[in-house]
Amino acid sequence: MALWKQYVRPGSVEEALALLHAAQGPTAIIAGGTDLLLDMQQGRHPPVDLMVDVSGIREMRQVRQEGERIELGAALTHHEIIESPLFRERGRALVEACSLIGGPQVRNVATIGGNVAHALPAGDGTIALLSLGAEAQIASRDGRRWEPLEALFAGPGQTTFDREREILVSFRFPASGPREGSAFRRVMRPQGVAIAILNMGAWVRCGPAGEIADVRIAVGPAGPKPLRARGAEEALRGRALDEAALEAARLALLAEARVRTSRHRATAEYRQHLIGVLLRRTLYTAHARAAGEKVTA
Amino acid sequence: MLKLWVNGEAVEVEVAPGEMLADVLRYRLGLTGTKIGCNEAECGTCTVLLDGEPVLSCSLPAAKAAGRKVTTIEGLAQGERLHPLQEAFVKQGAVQCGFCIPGQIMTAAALLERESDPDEEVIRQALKDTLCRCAGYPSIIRAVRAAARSLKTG
Amino acid sequence: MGHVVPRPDAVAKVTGAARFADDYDFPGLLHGRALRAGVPHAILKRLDVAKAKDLPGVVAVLTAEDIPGERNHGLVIHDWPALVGVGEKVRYVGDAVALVAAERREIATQALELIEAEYEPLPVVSDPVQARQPDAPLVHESGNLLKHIKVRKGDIEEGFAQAEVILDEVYHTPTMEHAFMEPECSIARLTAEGRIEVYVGSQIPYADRDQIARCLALPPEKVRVIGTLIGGGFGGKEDIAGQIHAALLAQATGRPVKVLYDRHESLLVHPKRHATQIRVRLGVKRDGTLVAAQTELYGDSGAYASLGEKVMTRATTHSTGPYIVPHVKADCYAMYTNNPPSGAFRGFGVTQSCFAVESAMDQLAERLGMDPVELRRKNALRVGSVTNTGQLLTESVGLLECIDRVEAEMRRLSGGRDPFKPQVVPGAPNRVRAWGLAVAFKNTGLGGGAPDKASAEVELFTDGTAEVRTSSAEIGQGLVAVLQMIAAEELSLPLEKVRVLLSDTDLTPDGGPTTASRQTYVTGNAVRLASDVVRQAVATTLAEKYDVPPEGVRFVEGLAQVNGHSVPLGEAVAMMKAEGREPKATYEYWAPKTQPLGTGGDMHFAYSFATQAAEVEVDLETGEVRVLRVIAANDVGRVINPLGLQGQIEGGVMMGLGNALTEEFIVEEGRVITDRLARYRMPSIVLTPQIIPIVVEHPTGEGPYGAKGIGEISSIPTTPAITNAVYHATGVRVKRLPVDQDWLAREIARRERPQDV
Repeated sequence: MALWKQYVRPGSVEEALALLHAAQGPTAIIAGGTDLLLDMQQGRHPPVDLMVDVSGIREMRQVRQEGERIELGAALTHHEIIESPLFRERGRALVEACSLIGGPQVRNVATIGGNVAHALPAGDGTIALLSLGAEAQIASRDGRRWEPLEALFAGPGQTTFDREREILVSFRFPASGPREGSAFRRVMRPQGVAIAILNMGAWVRCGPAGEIADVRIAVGPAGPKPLRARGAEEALRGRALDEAALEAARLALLAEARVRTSRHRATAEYRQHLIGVLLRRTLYTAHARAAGEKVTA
Repeated sequence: MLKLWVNGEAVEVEVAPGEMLADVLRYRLGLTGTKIGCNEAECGTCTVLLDGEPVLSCSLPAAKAAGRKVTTIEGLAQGERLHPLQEAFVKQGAVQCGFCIPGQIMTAAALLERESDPDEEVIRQALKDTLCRCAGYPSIIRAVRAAARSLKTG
Repeated sequence: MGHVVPRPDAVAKVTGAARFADDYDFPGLLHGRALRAGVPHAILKRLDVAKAKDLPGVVAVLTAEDIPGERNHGLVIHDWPALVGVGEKVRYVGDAVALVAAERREIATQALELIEAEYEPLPVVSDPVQARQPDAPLVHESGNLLKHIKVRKGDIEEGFAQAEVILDEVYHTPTMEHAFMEPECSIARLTAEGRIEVYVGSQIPYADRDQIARCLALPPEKVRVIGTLIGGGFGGKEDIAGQIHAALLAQATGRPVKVLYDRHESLLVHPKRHATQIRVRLGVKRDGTLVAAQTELYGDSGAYASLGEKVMTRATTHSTGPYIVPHVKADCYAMYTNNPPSGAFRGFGVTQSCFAVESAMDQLAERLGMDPVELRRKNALRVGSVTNTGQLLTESVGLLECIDRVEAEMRRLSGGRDPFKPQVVPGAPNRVRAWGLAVAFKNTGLGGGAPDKASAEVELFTDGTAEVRTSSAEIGQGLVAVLQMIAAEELSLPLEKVRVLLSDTDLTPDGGPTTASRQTYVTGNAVRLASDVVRQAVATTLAEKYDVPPEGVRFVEGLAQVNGHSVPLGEAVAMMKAEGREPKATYEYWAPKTQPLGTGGDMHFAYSFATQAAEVEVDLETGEVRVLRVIAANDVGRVINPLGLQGQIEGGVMMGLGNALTEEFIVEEGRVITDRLARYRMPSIVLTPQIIPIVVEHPTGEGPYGAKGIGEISSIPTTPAITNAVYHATGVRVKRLPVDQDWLAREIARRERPQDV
């Protein structure tokens, strides 16, 4: 059976919403389709009557900087994000995450919105956006709303918004300014599926003495949903980035992260071990960037 | 009816719902140079250029190519004259069983459009998802570098 | 010989003109698909295909009863049903129970979903050790033991009695997938004369022909197998895939039928590399002299025999390494299980046993406090040595030179430091580097008493060109260029005047299987000798015409020189034809006779030897392993085409790297977990180390110009070189492949914090 009966490419969010609401049978929103099509081809997602391709909607492909806030359309591809000097300068964790996903062929079509909407607990783009303190704009027939990114996730692969009737339009996050920096790191398994064993995004604001004035940390997979590690953040806030602070943060993170063994992928013990390793590497890199050092890898 | 540009020519082709670009190229347009290795967006064999950028045609709904420019391996040579990448792949022994080669060359072609003198690391990153099981990777790297030199000197 | 020649098929392969099986189309082409059982062990109780038959667009649905001839196929033992019938047994998830031919592929797929099949599940045999237990369920009525393979030399008790140090270890290797880039595809069609033609990229076209004919109840002459280009084989295209199914459907429908596997089906169905458990017990004198070697191997042959017995025989005879050992006892149990069948895969069993014995040799060196290179050098096979199967090596043993040259290069690159001691990467205290080394040998040719022969035909034309014809597979390894070079050399023709036609059972004589690194040697010799016959025929014609002895005719660059005349070869051919002589010859070349295992004497007519050293970098915190450099020395006898050799070395090293670090085909209780390419990771370009090839040439007298096989040996020592390097970097010994970074990181952490143990 064909994966879809009809394929449409609306020009605006409103048109897309109208098509979705007018449809009688099952529908799906497609952007890059790199996750959705595989799910459909391999039987994890049933075929649909109507496929609504949002990848050409202009509003969803824009990048805007308003004051100290960056807004990016959900249909931007990973490639477009990597190539953007704005993100490189002011949202480095996102660029690092996007550059680790796939090869150029996938990055040319896969979108940041698709990564978030797939709602995997360790989506690389998702974790990076979380660490940057992002919010998401959802469009429905009732209007538009902004929600904290964290609020979109209901469980592994599950969202709180209706993916058949609502559209993830854009994200916004505070642009990293002077004395602020971010980083993304992950560890992969050389065998099997290319999903991170553990990934982490961190954003740091340095205080006058180099202390951690403010910090955001996101990690996955550390539970059913992408995790914003507020306990670890709390343990670090206001402290110098030294061994004691790092250890306090590690313990806090271990307490709030629910890591488990996934068969054929990783043991819980290894993931717990990696939490300490990645915390150190991600934080040090973000902190060094915040302090004005150039850190490439 | 799907209208698109394939290797510089305007094409109108009937497409069934659910068809991917690779199926249209291979089975409707007879452009069998584009190979399908896995049909699950893993191996890179099916890579073609869409508006100059490499994409995996096995997992790209044909409808996405509407009105856009598709370049396949058949469209790379200029008449009888091979593209420098094609020439270099032959000379450097980068071709073995040959099944992945169209994907390798198309991915590399997009790279060379963007960067005239990529170093080894850049080449590796560009080709990271284009698998070769004969694994002539060192030869492939040499071929891309040789092609870059040849493109520069003309 | 020995100069760089680009492959004749390379241009077509870079322009997209090259045609693989799925690139062929025929008017009225139908699409065939097979319904796979999806259960590992069961009785097929009921099969209802009525709904599938009624689906519009479906042209035929076939079940086991529709097979006109023999049900079973197989390369050695006919134990593999083309279709499992009602009341019969399913032995693995990939068994086919019904076939569909439809106007479009999607319709065929949909029809498969409409077939109702009911199974009565049986207890599953999931590993070879379990399979040998007395109470294990039976996979085949004849028992689970496919073959007990024995190697005996000297007196093992006596050997261990002499030993001053004994090492005893067990190693495990997983199932591996060929993952050739081109999934299997066969197209069958009836000809106007009532014959069946099958287009397929196969490693053994004549075996395909015979197996198709048996199942279709046709004489073999009624079947023509036409080889297409092959998008990689590595041993995985030796068994039947869709050939018989396509032919059955074409016979039933009267229309051309294409059976194309998708990647999922390819992963489920075709034979894999054997998973093994290998115990190695080595006895040695304090000075490092090996006195005894005992090995016990279990090989998972899966549901059907395929080439399992032969593969595990090679694993066994190579299990004590390329070493002089006076007392040897090796036992191997090749077992049937309900896993996908195992068969040929580059290395043919030796990949697995080399990992085991080369890990053991490194451990032994440490136990002795000896340099691991020195231990190997001391015991290495050399001319005059007797192998563990009792073969006296009289020539072409380049192992010592391989060891010496790799060691010298490794020490040079290490800049005077001990290459086997961990070096911390400057500026990155969590990363360490070290080298590891391993050696290997691998037979060229079938050996073990199997008749090993190849036929080739060479024909000259009046335009001065020549054509070489043989049914041998070009799977990417570069055979076409090799045969072209040999014919050109023998006929004194420019290369471009020689065409090579492969693998058409109507037009090309049997070159034998493309396996066991044998084509350059065996078919190469057939082409060399056929060319020689043709050349002599030309010489005879000219000698008569110009009244000189045939030795007086010289051949230079497409010209025959006789008595001061220069006759273009094409003209000479015209003269022959005018006299009614055929300007062509077929030569059936028989490789030197070999002896069956257990009878002593020459089990193989040649061996290739290799040494590799790998430098790895390990992240001590994450357990991530990167291979930085590999030095690879191969004794190939004589290089014919350096460009083809380069491809074999680079590709061999990368495949060995995948074997060590990335690849693991997971089957649990007979169910395939790695049933998508996304779950089976082969090395990509980013993992490519710097590869430093060293060519060693110890010619073998009977090989063409001295050449022997390279296709497998280039891949075999890579894995233990890498795992030995991991040990030297971290102190953690890998005894189970692939290297599990999760486990490695935890082991490293444990060693650093002994109180946690």
